[in-house]
Amino acid sequence: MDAPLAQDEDKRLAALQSLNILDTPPELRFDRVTRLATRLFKVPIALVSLIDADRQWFKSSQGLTVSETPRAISFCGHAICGEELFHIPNAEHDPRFKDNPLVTGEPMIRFYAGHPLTGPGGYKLGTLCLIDRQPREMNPEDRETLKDLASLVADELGNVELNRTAMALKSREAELGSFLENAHDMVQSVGSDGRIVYVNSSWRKIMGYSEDEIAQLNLMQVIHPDSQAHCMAVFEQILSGKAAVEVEAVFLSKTGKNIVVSGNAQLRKQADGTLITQSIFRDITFRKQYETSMRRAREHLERRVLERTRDLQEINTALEQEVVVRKKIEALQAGRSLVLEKLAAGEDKKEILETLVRVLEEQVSGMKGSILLLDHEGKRLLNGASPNLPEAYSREIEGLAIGPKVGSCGTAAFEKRRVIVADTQSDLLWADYRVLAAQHHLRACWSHPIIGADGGVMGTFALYYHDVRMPSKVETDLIEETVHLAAIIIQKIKADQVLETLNRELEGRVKERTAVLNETNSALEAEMAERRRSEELIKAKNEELKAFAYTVSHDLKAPLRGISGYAQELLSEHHESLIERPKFCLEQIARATNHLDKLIEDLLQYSRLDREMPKSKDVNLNVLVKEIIEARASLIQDQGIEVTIDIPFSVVQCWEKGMSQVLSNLIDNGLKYSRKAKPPRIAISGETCSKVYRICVRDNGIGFNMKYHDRIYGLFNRLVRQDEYEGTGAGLAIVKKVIDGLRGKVWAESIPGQGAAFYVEWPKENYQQENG
Amino acid sequence: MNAQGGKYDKMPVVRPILLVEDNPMDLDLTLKAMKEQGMTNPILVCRDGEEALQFIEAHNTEDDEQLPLIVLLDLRLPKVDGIEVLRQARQNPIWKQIPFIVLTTSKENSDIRRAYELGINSYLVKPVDFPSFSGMTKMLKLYWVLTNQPPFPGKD
Repeated sequence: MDAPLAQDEDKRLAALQSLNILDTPPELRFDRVTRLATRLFKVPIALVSLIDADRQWFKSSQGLTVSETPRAISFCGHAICGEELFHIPNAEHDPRFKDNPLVTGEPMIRFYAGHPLTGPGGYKLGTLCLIDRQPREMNPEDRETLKDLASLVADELGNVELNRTAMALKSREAELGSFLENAHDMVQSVGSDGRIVYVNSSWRKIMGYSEDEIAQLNLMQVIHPDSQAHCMAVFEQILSGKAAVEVEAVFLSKTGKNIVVSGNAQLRKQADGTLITQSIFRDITFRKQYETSMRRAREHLERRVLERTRDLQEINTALEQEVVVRKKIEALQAGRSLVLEKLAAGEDKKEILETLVRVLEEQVSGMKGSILLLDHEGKRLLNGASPNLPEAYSREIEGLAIGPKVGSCGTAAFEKRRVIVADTQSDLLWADYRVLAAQHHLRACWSHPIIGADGGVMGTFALYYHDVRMPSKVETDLIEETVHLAAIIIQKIKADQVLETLNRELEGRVKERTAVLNETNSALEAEMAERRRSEELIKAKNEELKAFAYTVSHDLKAPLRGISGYAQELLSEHHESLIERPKFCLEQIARATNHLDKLIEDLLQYSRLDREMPKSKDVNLNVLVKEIIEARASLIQDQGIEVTIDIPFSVVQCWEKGMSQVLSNLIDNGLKYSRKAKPPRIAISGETCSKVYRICVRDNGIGFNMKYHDRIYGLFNRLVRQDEYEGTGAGLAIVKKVIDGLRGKVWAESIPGQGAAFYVEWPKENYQQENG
Repeated sequence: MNAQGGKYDKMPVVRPILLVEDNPMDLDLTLKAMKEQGMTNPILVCRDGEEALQFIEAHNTEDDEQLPLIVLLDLRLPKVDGIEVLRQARQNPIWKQIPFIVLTTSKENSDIRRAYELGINSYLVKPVDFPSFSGMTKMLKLYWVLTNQPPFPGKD
């Protein structure tokens, strides 16, 4: 049954409103009374309940967490209808209340006792009520006590000053509420049972819940499962009285999003004595996400750094190994230089190979090296160098025929591949040599074929160990280096051998050839000697000839002078005593001697040309011709001879004396043979061709028949009689001789009776050296 | 002696001319030409090179009266030739000052060069024609006997 309304309800409500007490915070002056009531009556619940239009609002409340309940279901709404105490000993048995939700459900009201509170104007504003979950009775003393207490409360309600204070408090609380409500941080109040009492707008906005939904929520529902245990622990902590606790938790929004919050929580005891936790959180999801991504990035980076470091360490390790190998190879190369020096110095091949083996042995401890050389037929292995292998062993394998199962070396040479036998005592390749190897404690044997430049096997390089083992990378590198070097050395040794053979053959051939040449040479020398003797002879003859000419000039002339002299004496000093004929004879003798004198003179001049060398110098031919003409000026003038000179080149390289003789003779001839022409004419002209100089002496004299052309250059050959035209016939011979000396040529053109033209030409180039 | 002449005037008269000539015909004609041209100096004749060298050896002082005014030397001589005579004469301190005139038939350049190298004073080629030779002798007298001042003028 719903609580009834009073008759003057409007006025009653106006009176209640005028007190300005509704929704004000709890006040000690009322709480003292309710606390006192619970103690006095030993009830769990005591309230100061004010009946508003449709609710009952608790100004003070002991034992209840709610601050108001609907008026309709309220007990107090009934209580204010009477003047006296409204008492229900057992609500279950009361037909008005037995169906009331406050009876059938929480707080399971059984006993109710409410005394009306009469305010100004006599209006019943509410009650001071006691509630128990057990039925009970009230004796008269209890009723009086409650009545007194209700009066105390009513008095306080009438205290307007105090109410104003409470109102002010309420507005402050409202301000505070608004402040919290609008804060950016998330604010929440949670009851000790985990029910959410209050959250602000930021909270709702972030978590995505409406106000209505929140009323139904328990704190644990909005906490991420992973965070629940932690939150529960914190919650317990707070409830156990710890002042303020820093919290970090993950909430779960309505849409299932993780919201990371950080803040603090504290316990607050409400006016009704109930405990709530109040918390202010900040949404640090983004910060957390940022932190997470940062952490991930950092972790990634650290991982990368670790990986990189690992890579680098690997590289470093590899490098260190490489350095070890390098050092070994360098040491080997130093040894290699030594080997190559020995090779270059042409030392004994066995010693060079032994040095090579020793060099490798120094680098690979516990190893004994062996070089075997394949014989010329390519079938058997012969010891090349095994300085530290047991001699007996080397003797035993000397001349080993190669084959597919002949230990390491025999197989390596046969199959032309590297053969690594880690244990001679178990490897099949060594089946036939196992005992031999065991006798000499040779357990491992790695053999490499030594391949020549032509791709053929030249031998093997083997490494023996006293223990079972396989080659390491370093060893393999070292061995390959050494094998390569061994190949070079053996190649060189072979080449030297071939060279030696070739040299021997060559020497033999050189000797043969030398013998032949020597014979030829002797023959040639004999011939040369013969030639020299001939030359000496010719030279002597020449000298004789010269002496002859000299003798002629001197010895012929002396008697000639005698004849001439004595004939003259007769003619001049004995002129009167001579008759006609003897006088004529003497005159003929004198003339003959004169002619003979001229002949001798010309002969001398001609022979002298043989002995005189052409001397090249700058000669002005124009001047030379003019001098010659000048010397004959009186003759030319007497006979009225017309002379023309036209030489376009003046200075030429020439033999002056020779050229003078040539021109003099040609001009003299011209003058002589043209003297009967009317008028006599002589033209001397020059012509320069690309390679030669040419001079022509032309006259209009008697000329000659061209059939005699070749005769006219012979010494003393004449075409005319002495008594017609005087002369010795030496002139043209001299001309020819000079021009021959200049390597030129002389020729003539003539028609008898119409004159003659004589040409001489000689090369331009210097002929001095050729004629030296 | 000619009192009117200078202190050297008598020298050409007394000093001989040395003629070295082997050919008797040449010698005869030369002497004839000299005579024709009125050469009055004594003519001393050596018939070969050896004789000439002996003469040089025998007359080896400045004041020797046989020391010739000039020497007419043929080059082509029996035994010792004219060039050798010249060479030895030029090594003699007295004779190297005597004018030597080569009188020969040779026109050979080599002869001319060698003669001048040995310090001859003139080189004359004997012409075949006697009148020409006589004319040459005249010129020779005019210059070498009458005009030229010889070495070793002698004492008063």
